[in-house]
Formats: sequence, structure tokens, C-alpha cells
Amino acid sequence: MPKYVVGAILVVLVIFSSIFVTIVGGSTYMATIPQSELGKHHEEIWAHTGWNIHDPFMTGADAPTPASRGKTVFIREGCWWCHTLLPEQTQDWTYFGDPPEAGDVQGESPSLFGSDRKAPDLLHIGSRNRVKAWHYVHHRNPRAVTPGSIMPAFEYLSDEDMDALVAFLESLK
Amino acid sequence: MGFWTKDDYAEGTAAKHFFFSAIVMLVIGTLLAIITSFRLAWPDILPNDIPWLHFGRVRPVHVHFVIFGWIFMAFAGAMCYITPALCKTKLWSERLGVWNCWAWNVGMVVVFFTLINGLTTGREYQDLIWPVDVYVLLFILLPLAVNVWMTMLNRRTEGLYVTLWFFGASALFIILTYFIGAIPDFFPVTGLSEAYMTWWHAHNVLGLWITPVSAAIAYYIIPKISGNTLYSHKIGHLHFWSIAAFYSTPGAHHLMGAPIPEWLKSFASVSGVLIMIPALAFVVNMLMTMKDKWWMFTKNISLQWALTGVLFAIPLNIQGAFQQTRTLNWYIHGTHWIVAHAHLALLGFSTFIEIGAIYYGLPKLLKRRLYSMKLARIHFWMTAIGFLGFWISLTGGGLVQGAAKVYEVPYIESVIATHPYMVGRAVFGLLIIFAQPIFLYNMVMTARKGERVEDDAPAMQAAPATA
Repeated sequence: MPKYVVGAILVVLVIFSSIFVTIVGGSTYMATIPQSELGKHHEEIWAHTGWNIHDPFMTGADAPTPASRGKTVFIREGCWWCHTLLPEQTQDWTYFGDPPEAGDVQGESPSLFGSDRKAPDLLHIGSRNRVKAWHYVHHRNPRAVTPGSIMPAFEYLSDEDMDALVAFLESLK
Repeated sequence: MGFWTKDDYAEGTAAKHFFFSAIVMLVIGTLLAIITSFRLAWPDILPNDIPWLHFGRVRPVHVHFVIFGWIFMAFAGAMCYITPALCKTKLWSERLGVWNCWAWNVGMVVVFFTLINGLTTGREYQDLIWPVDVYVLLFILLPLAVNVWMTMLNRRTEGLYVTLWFFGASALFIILTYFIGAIPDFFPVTGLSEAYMTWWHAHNVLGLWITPVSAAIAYYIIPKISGNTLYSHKIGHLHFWSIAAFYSTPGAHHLMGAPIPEWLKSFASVSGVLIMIPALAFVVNMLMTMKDKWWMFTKNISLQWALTGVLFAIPLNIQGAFQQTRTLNWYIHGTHWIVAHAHLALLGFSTFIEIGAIYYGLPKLLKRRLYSMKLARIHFWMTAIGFLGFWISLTGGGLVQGAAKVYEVPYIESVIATHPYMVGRAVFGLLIIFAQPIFLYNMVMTARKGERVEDDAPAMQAAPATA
């Protein structure tokens, strides 16, 4: 066998084994992390309440609890394009609260960590701000309660959607 | 099989369809960005009672139109044009290509209406609900791959040029990547595993599809137009294999702040830095290919676009290699810096190369001269100046956000402090947005009024290099 064939086979093996280790190994390893108490609490709200194989056209009205209905509104309106649900481990827990433990997010779908934070992290908003009326005013007209905010004013949300959304935010302890 | 190959359409039909569709998607995609960028600068500038005009609804539509619409279809056009040229044969099936193109456009309509109405999986870059995922795999990605592979199998040449390695491999990679990314839509994968698959997909769409195919296009047009042979096929080999080895695993670097295992973060981070190898191999190969022909940089419009794209790859890859290490990631993660970086990759590097390819290929396919070199120059300078201003504004804004994160000032202070940067981004963004309809007009006029040229005359080189 010519030398370059041996080399090529080696290179391909290295590539596929690294993909295999990271994807299959990583995912399997993470799937075995046991669910924490907080994760169990979240599961009631979060697990499979989004869009999945069972119901791709699910709307907020179909979700079982007010908080999970609120999560579908949170996804539908794209809140997660600015609000992360992931206080970073490195530096910002004093303001946004503890970063999640590995077990806390087991069972969630989608996890909604977010990537592009242009607004405060909301993982612990339910503990940080307990004033229900504030949330209602803030969603209709953010600049009335937070001058300088660039959050969209959700004038079109129905009362049911708004109740659900606030219930979801309150569930994020 | 006979249906696809017998009584086929004229050569180049598929590529023409793809190129024009791609340009239309570019115009729509950038126009949508007016809504997103203005909303971030002045949140009440548009009516608040219409959901379709809200940032959260429009952002994913903009992303999908510029990536899945513009970049992907420009790739498909380039593949349908370059693959037969390098294989010295005709495209396996122009008919399949044309059907593929229309399926793609129908898919973009579906993407528009699902995302704008908030039907999404809530997973970034895998936003489409599973029925649309199935459609994308079966009617968009698979037919393109089949066409490219069948053309390569029916080639009349002995070896395969660098471009073809990338086309053939990336067509497989994108199908695998898209499928793995969509697994959480089909199976009950949750929590960290789901987040990891989401980001593995998100990064590998770039690493195994957008970056290598953009590079493959540059590997074709830069030697072709400059008249030089490729500087080094060995460096091409290095580029090809190292991109497959190092760019297939760094997905976890998007989750450096998440509770995923540390070994996975380290694996991603190290392979992320190693991406410098394919990146620099590519840049060096392209710039050395231009040896003694640099005067063409300002004379030939296609080279001007493509080489500017190659030059953008230098800051792009230096940023990309180091911003995902723990040392830097904690500072800039989730800030506008990242948005600037993403635009440097997709608008700076990739789009500039594809526009170069279209200025070269489309007039050739139409057998006409470019309608107006002056408009092409205006298009270039508006996009280039707009992009630079846009990129500097966003990068600056990102550094402000990073500082605000470290000093833990109340969050709203960082929003107020980044307002001028958002204004800068919106204003410079307008230059980019208004440049693209000029591109479309120029190409439509080339098709309708461009001066006809004989079959073998090189359309672009013959055009007078004015302005």
C-alpha cells in the first residue's frame, strides 16, 4: 500500500474519532448527569412544552400550565434573542444570580441559554423582582418604568399571553 | 434517472436561476435588517402593535434570508457553474438544479411565514420546526449534493482540483451537520445535550459548509481571473484536511459559560485555536497566487470583491481563534463584539467572495458584458465602507458591554452607553442595505441590455476597467 494511502486513512480516522468522541461521547455523558431538585421543578414547566416531534405547531394555548404557556410565548416573541437564561460562571452571578448546575437543565427543551445578551439575564428574575404589576407595565411600555430601555413595547400581546408570560417569569426562581 | 438527464435544459440554466434567486434573497434579507438595526437604536421608531415589525420576530427571518437564502443559494449557483467547468463536462442535471432552486425559493417562503409568526424551535440556527427541517434536508440540501456528486462522477478529467474536494466533501458535511442539529427536534434530547447539539450544528454550518465552500469559490476564481496557477496544491491539501479535523469539533465553545463538562470545553477551545492552520493556509495560498498580478486588484471588479473577502479572513480568523478561549471568552461572550464577528464572517469574508464570483460568473452565463462597471464600483464601495463602519460600531459597543459586565454596573447603564454604537451600526448598515438593490438592478440590466459577447470571449476581462 502506498504511504499516502496509510496517511489518508489515519487522517480520516482521527477526524471521525474526534467527531465521535465529542458528539456521541459528549451527549451521552451529559445525558447521564442526574437531574437536580431545581431541575425537577423546572421540568414541570419546561420539559417538552416547546415545539417537538409530538406537536410542531403547538401554541401557547395548548400548554398545560400558565408558566409553560408563558414559555411558549417567550419563545414565540423571540425574548430569548436578547434575554439569556444563563448567568455566566465567570463573573456575573452577583447581579444575575447563581449559574445553573449541570443537573438543573436536564429535561428542559429547549434550554434557551441564549447567545447574544442585549438585556438582563432572566434565570432568577422570579426572585429578583417579585412585583407582578411591574412586569405588566414593563411589557406594555418598558420605557415607562425603565428609561433608556430598548426592549420592544409588546402592545399586541393578548391578556392571556401576558398573564402566561408573567407566570413564566415568576417561575424563574 | 432518465427524467433528470434526458432533454435537459440549456447549460447554465440552473446556475442562472440560483444566482438571481440568491441576489433577490440578499436584497430581502438586508432590507429586513433595517427593522432589526433601527429597533435596537430607536425602539419606538416603528408601530408597536404589529408583531411582524418586532425585533424578536424579524431577527431570525433576517438571519435565515441572508444565510439560507443568499449565501446558500449563491453557493448552489457557484457549484452548478464551477463543478462542470472543472470536470470538463456538463452539469449532471440542469433540470434537477432548476427544480432544486424553485424548491429552495418555496422553502424560503415557508421559512418566512413560520418564523415571522413565531413558529420556531427556540434553538438558534436550528430555528425551523421539524417539518421544515425534513423539507430542507430532502428538497434543498440532498438534490444539490446529488447534482454535484453525479457531475463529479461523470467528469472527463483525471484528477480533482482543490475546489472540487471542498464542494464534494462540504455537500456531505452540510447534510450530516443539518441532520445532527435537527436530532433534538426528532428525538427527546433535552438539556445540556440538546444545547450542545444545537451549537455543534450552528458552528459546523460555518465550519464545514460556509467557510470551506467560500474558500473553494476563491480557489477557482482567483487563479482563473488572475491567470496565475494556484500557488500550492500542498497547502490546499493542508487546508482541506485541517479544516475537516479542527473545524468539526469546536461547537462547545459557544457554551463556555454553561455547565457542560470541562473536558468538552477544552476540546472545543483547543481545536478552535487550531483553526488558525486552515485559515492561514487558505489566506497565504490565495495571496501568493496573486503574485505579480496585484495590479488587477483595483482593475477587475470580481477580484476586488473576492480578494477583499480573503483579506477580511485574516482579522476574522484571528478573532475566531482566540475569542473562544477561556481567557477572552468571559469578557466578550454574548456582547455585540460577537455580532460584529459573525458579520465579519458572513458579510465580510463569505459574501464578498460570492459577490466576486457572481460578477465573474453571471455575465459569462448570460453571454453578455456587465451592464455598468460604474454601478458595480458604487456597489463595492457602499458595501465596503458600510461594512467597516458597521463592524467598528458593533465591536466598540461590544467592548463597552464587556466592561459593563466586569464592573457589574446596573444593566440598563450598558444599554444607554451602547446607544451611540447602535446608531452608528444602523446608519452604516443603511449603506450596505441600499447597495444591494443596485447589485440586483445591475444584474437584471446585464441580462436584458448587456452587450452580447461571443461564446468563448471572457466577458469580465473584456469589460473596460473604468472609474
